[in-house]
Order: sequence, then C-alpha cells, then structure tokens
Amino acid sequence: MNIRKIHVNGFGKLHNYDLSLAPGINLIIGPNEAGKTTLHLFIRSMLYGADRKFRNRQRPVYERMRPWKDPKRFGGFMEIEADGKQWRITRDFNKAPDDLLMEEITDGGEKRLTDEEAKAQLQKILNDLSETAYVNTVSAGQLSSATEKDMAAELRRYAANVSTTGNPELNADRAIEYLGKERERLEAMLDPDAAKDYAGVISAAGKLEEKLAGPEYENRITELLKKNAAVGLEAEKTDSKIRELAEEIGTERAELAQYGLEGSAAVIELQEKVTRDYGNYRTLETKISGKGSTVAAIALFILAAVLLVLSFRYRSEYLFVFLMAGAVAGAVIGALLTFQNSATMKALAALAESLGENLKRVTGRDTLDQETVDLFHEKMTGLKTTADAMEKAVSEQTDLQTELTRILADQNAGKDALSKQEQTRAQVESSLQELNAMQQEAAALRKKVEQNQSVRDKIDAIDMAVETLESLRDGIRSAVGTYINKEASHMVAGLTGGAYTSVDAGRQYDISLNSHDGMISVKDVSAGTADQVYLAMRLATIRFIVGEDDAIPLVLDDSFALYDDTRLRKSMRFIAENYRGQVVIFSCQNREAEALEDEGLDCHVMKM
Amino acid sequence: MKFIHLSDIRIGSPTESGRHWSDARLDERFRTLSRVLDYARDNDADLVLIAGGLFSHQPVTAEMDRVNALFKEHSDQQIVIIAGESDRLRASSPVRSYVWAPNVHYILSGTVERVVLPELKTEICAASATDEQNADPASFGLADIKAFITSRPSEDFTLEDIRRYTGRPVIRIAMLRGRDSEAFSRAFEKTDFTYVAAGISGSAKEILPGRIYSPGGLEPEAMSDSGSHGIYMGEADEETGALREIHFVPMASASYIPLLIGVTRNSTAEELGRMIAGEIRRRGEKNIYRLKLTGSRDPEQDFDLEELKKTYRIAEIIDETEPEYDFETLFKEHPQDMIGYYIGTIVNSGKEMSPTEKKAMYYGIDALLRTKA
Repeated sequence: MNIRKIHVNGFGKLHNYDLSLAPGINLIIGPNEAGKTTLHLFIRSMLYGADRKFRNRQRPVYERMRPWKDPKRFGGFMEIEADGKQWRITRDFNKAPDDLLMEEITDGGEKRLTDEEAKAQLQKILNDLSETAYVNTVSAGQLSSATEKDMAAELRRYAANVSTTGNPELNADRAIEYLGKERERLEAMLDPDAAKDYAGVISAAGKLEEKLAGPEYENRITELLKKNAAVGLEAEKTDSKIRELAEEIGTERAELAQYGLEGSAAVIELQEKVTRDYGNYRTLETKISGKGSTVAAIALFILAAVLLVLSFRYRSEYLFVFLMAGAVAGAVIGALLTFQNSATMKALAALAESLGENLKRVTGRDTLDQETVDLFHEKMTGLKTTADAMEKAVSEQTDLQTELTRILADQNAGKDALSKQEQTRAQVESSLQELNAMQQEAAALRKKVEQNQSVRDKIDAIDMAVETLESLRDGIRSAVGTYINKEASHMVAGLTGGAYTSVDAGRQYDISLNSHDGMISVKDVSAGTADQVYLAMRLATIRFIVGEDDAIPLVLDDSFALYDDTRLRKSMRFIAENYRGQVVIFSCQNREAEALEDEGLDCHVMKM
Repeated sequence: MKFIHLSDIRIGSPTESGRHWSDARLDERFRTLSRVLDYARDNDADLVLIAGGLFSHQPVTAEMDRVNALFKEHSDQQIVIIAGESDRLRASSPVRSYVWAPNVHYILSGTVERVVLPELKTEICAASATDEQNADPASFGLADIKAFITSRPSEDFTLEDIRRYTGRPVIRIAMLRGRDSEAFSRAFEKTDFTYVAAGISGSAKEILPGRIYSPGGLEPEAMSDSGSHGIYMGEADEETGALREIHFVPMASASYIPLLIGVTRNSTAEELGRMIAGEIRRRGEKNIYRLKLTGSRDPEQDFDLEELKKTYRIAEIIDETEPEYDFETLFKEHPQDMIGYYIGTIVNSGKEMSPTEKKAMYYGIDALLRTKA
C-alpha cells in the first residue's frame, strides 16, 4: 500500500493542508512544532479512525487533535493505492471518531463502498494489522531515552518484550511478577488453620455428644422423683400404722392392767388358779359342812370322859388300864380331830379370801358362788381376746418396724441416687453449654473455610494465568524470538555495513552483537549502534507481524538523530534496498536528504 | 377456639455466629417469640402450638428458665411443644426433668402422646423428634398412624376431666415434625383431624389447604429462606370441629434480602457504597443482605465494601462484576502478540469457560496491561 495524497480539513494545528507522497522514500522536513507529529497522527487516524484510547499515557487522539482553528472541520481524506487499485478514505470526526467513507477511484472513477464493504476493504489493505500493532511497530517513534545506558536498557526491554510476547509493549515476566505479588497478597488473606480448626471442633463436639449418649448420663430425675415420692409415701404409711398399733396396744395393755394382768399367759394363769381354787374351796367347804369330824371329836371327848370316869371306878382293876388308854386315846383322837377341823377351817377361810379377791377384782362381786365364777370366766374370756389382740399387735408392730427400717434405707438410697443424678445433671448442662459454644465456633469457622475457598479459587485462577503466560512466553520466545533474531541479524549486518554480523536479542538480560572481533554486549556499543539495533529489531518485528512484502508504509519519525554521517548513509541505503514498501521519514534537518543524495538514492522531499 | 402455630424459633441458633450482629440476632429470636405470644394474647388465641425447634440445640436449665418465665406470663394460653431435630429429645436431655409452667405441655415422647384440653374441647396428638427415630410421618409405623386416626379419650383423664368433658373431643389436632411435606399429605389426607400442625424447617408451606400447614422457621435461617417468615393463625369451630379460618401472619424481625446491584464502568466504590447504604436503609437495617454486584467495572476500580459490612447486616457480597476488558476487541487488536495468544489459549481450552478460566482470563490480561510499557 502506498499513500498518494493527503488532505487535512482540520486536525490539530493543521488546517486545509495538502500533501502528495510518492512510492519509495518520502522525506518530510520541517522544524520542530511544524506539525510533523500531527501529520503522522493524521495518517494513522485516516487508516484506523480517531483513537479514543489513552496510549502511552497520552490523551486520546480524538481529544488531542480537535482542530485549533475551526473545530467544525475535523477530518480530511487520504488517497491510497493498493493491489493496482486506488481508493479515497474520507473521515469526518465530527460525525463519529470512526466515521468512514471509502470510494474506489481507480482510473478516475468514483465508486462509493457501503459501510461494511469499506471496513472489510480497509482491513484487507492493512493486512489485518491492528491499530495497536500498527502503533507499536510501523509508526513507532525513536527510543525515548536520553542516555546511552538507559537506551541500552530500553532496547533490551524492547527486544525481550518482542521476543517473549510479540509486542514491544508487553512484558510477560513483569506480568508474571505482578501476578506473583497478587498471589502473595491473597495468600496473606487465607486463614491456614481454619479447615483444621473446623475439623477439630466438629470432632470434639461429636465426641462430647457421644459421651453424653452414654447410659450414665440418662436423665432419670423424673423417674427417681416419682420413685422417691412412692417410697416416702410407703414410709409414712408404715409409720402411721406403727403408731396406730402402739395406740391399740396401749389401750389393751391398760385394760389388762386394770385387772393386774399383763398378757394372755397371766389371763390363763389367773383363770386356771381361780378354777383350781374354786374347786378346792368347794371341796373344803363340802368337808366342813359334813361336820363328822367335830361330832366324832366331841363323841371321842365324851367317850374319853366316860372312860376316864369309868377308869376311876375300876382303878384297881385291870380294866382301868383299858379304860384309861381308851380315855387317853379318845382324848387324843378327839384333840387331833378338833385340831384338824380348826386347820381346815383356816384353810377354807384363806382360800375364800384369795378366791374372793380374784373374783371381786374381775367381776366386782363379793359373792363366792358359781354364778360369780361363771361371770369371772366370761370376763376372763374377753380379757383373753384383748390380750391376744395386744400380743398380735405387738408382733405386727415389730414386723412393721423392721419394714420401716428397710423403707428408710430405701429412701436414703433414693435420695442419694437423686443427688447423684443432680450432680450428673449439672455435668450434662455444662457439657451442653460447651457443646453449644463449640457449635457456634464451628459455624464461624465454617465461614472462614468458605472464605478461604473463595480466595483459593482466585489463587487457582492466578496459577492458571501464570502457567499460561509462562508457557506462551516460552513458546513465543522459541518461535518469535528465533524469527526476530534471524531477521534482526540480517538487518544489523546490513545497517552496519557488515561491522556486526548478527544479533542475539532473545535473552532477557542482554542483547549481544557478533562482530568479527567476537561478542559484544549492547551496553558497550555507541548510542548510534544501539539505535541501529533498535531499527533492525523494529524492521524485523514489522516483518514478523505485517508480513514479508512490507505492505504498510514505514513511518520513521526523527529516527536518525543519533547517527553519524557514515552510519546514516549506510542506514538510508539499507532501508532503500531492503524495505519493499513506501517509507515516510520525518526529520527536522536536511541530513537525511543529504545522505540519500550522497548515496545516489531516489527520494521525494517535501518541506513543511 | 383460636390457635397459633409456629416452629423453629431456634433460640440460640449459631447460624450467624461470627458476625457483628450475631449477639443482637440471638436476642431477636427470643424477642420475636415474645411478640408472637403477645400477638396470641391480643388476638384471643387459646392455644399455642410450637411444632419443634424451640431451641437450636439441647437447651440447658437457664435457657429453659428464661423461656418458661415468658410462658408463665401468658398463662391464659395453653402451650403445647414438641421437640424438633435441632433440640430433639435424648436420654440425657435436661428438658426431660424440667418443670414447666402449668400451661405448658412439653411432649416427652417420640411416639404419639395426647394432650387433652377439656375447656377448649380440644385434643392434641403429638410426638417429639428423638434420637431413636426420625419423626418423619413416613417413618411412623402403621400402628402410630392408626392411633392417630382412631383416637379415644386419654387414659390419664382425671375424674374432673371426665365430669367436664364427655364424649370425644370436638377439635382434634395432630402435631409432629418432618422433612417431607408429601409424607404429611399421604399420612393425614384421609384422617379426620381438624388441623395438622406440621413442623418442617424452611419457609411457610400450605401442604394441604384447609388441613395441613407448616409455618417453617419463625426467623429465616439462611440466605435461601428469603421468603416471609411468621406464624399461622387459625380458628376451629367448637361445635363442629371444622377449621373455620387459617391465615399466615409475618412475624420475623429480619428477612434475608438479596440485593442486585448494577455496576457500570463509571461506578466508583464510594458511589456504590452510598447507593447500597441507601437501599439497605430503605428496606430496613435489621434485615440481612446478600449483595450481588453485576455488570462491568473499570479494571482499575476495586470495590472494597468492607466498611459497609461493618455497618450493616451484610452476610455476603458476591462480586460478579467483570472488569471491563473487552476480550473480543483485545483479541482482534492483538492477533499476534501475547494478549491475543493468551485470550486464544484460555478460550481455546474448549467448551464453556469455567469460573477459574474466566478469572484466569481476567488476571492474565489485567497483569499484562497493568505492566505494559
């Protein structure tokens, strides 16, 4: 593609400005501030539209290049030639930054293209070169650094960028380093122990729950309370029964005591005694009431007296002895009988007294007869029942006492069990509080774990980005770097007239040049040589990006300021012979024109 | 007979622990219960059915004391409570020996137990969730369901009960926990219960119109519970036993509200902060928000909204904004350098891009452009 004609309606400081260009080398000479950069930007804007992006921290062209004189006339046209056809590109930036009107004007015709056709055609003419790539390669300015040292550094960066990213502006290593820092920042946000802590809390809580599920922690309070209440009730019942019995026993004992009796044995004894006594009494009484012995005694006494009297009469006689003996015997027997009778009477009296007493105590009667005795027995049978009941009650009471002792022991055991349960309750409650605290902690930790996950996702993405960048960098280095090294070596050899035979620009930290005397670092060559290397790299990059037919006009803006005359001449010759497309050189001095003339090279010179 | 039905108050719930509002939120659960009981009293409800989840965990005596004190203040209401999954009955549960106020009937059995309220002509057949069995109606044995259906007056009637109350209770209510509303439908569809007070955590559900209802959590538990939370208020006819009326009453102190915030390239963090604060104030500062930022943002702009998180109840901020890198244009502009290759490589890995790839795309391009010469 060649630019044939430029017409500026209004663009920055340029106003109604016309310029014609020829194929081959065009040299545009003008002092500083004449509008060379403006023209340079105009060409770009005609090809790509007015840029609305900040580039290299400069305000967008669309804003920066509004016409100074007449803002209504913002734009112009440019006539170009490509593939044997001619086109006019007209743009009115007041309509839109990317406003485009394209006409085919081959052989004086005027055929307007539709918008889609225009876009497609222009892209084809530009070999699909993007604006960014155009800015970075074809229309790049000179290296901006002032000192040689900086320049070498910048060149190194340029070379490294181009050979690792295919774009002098992009730096894979710095991007990777930036991501590394970003990764560190994210890693600092991670709570590395969250997952472990979370698992720890969950497992501790699980163990505690398991412990609480043990039978010893069963809540038996209600059951025990019920049981204890029942035992208490039983104790109370037993106790009151014992008391009832005691009352009964008291009453019964008092009743018996009235009769001087203590128990059923006494009742039986008394009853037997009375029966016995009464029997004796009756026998004696019968004996006494018979009176035979008294009569016999009296009779004997009378007999003895008679015999005594008789004996006196028969004193000398043998009979006297018999009579005397008879009298004595009669007296003795009579006395004996009298004595015996008196003893029986005494015994009867005594028996009557004791019997009478017993009978009176029980019956209240003084009489000592069968009726009273019957009454006595009747009463005594009642007292026997009482005594039996009392004795049964006493035995029952003894049994109940034993029972009560057992119940009280039970009650104490129940109380102990309850108090133990209450202690267990306190333990369970504190465990539950602990468990609750653990669950709260687990919930908080779970959030941290989730946050960690989201940070980890970002870290994963960064790792993926870094990995991709590294593998691309290495791929580009081996493919693009090799190509650019080869091309740049060819260019360097040409530009330096063979002083340097090749360049190795693929390494990150240095660029070295091969001369006949050996390898030399770019740090150690002159600024002019460094600039030549830069030009070589640029041309190589353009070849790589645009293609080897050099279809896009090469714009060189003040590119040779640092060159000495010899070097400039060599460079001019090299460009003229090697760049197949149109070349537009902007300069503020005549040196380039002179060099071209000295070398006998054709060029089209214009002054601004 | 008027009644209210609620569940999953979850006093002591740890779901929001670790947030600046978690203590306030713990207290709010208790206060919401208090408000519900006041509402019951003010609307002459005779019966309060708590269908599980009164507590978020095994309650200890001190916690039960606090709730019981509240129940005591509402002695005109009969309160029937079953345990849910969160506070399910265990052998060691302190609740087994807790002595509640006389108007409180806490069901201490995993199988069906009856509470008979003669003054209300009402019988409640209820079962608590226990460790031993899952309280889902589907898991109830046939005998249990039969017991539900052919219920007869309780054996532990007192003489006085029988004197005051003759024949079958007019109003019969079933109350139990579950996870599956279908199971409730199947189990109770053909029964003659006046009302089935289901306890299913989550949000309110009308399981079978006019019969089976589940109020869900009294307070929302998670961001997914973004619906309305509250209680069912109903009235049953004491003559016929029919459910006369039932409606839902929102009661929750706070809602989970998802807020979708559109971001543009021109949005700054400050502007965004003001806008979000405005939205939150308009909808209520007590509510808990999940912010989702969508749209495209300036790649240079980082939205640091941590300050907002300190002021308001913001559970989560999901930043779905994409840095306004136009990858398609970048790809076209950089056909033969790292940017183009990078985009091509990530996209070419095929199919729909994974979230990691999307992020990696952003990180790689962002790093390249940020470190540009």
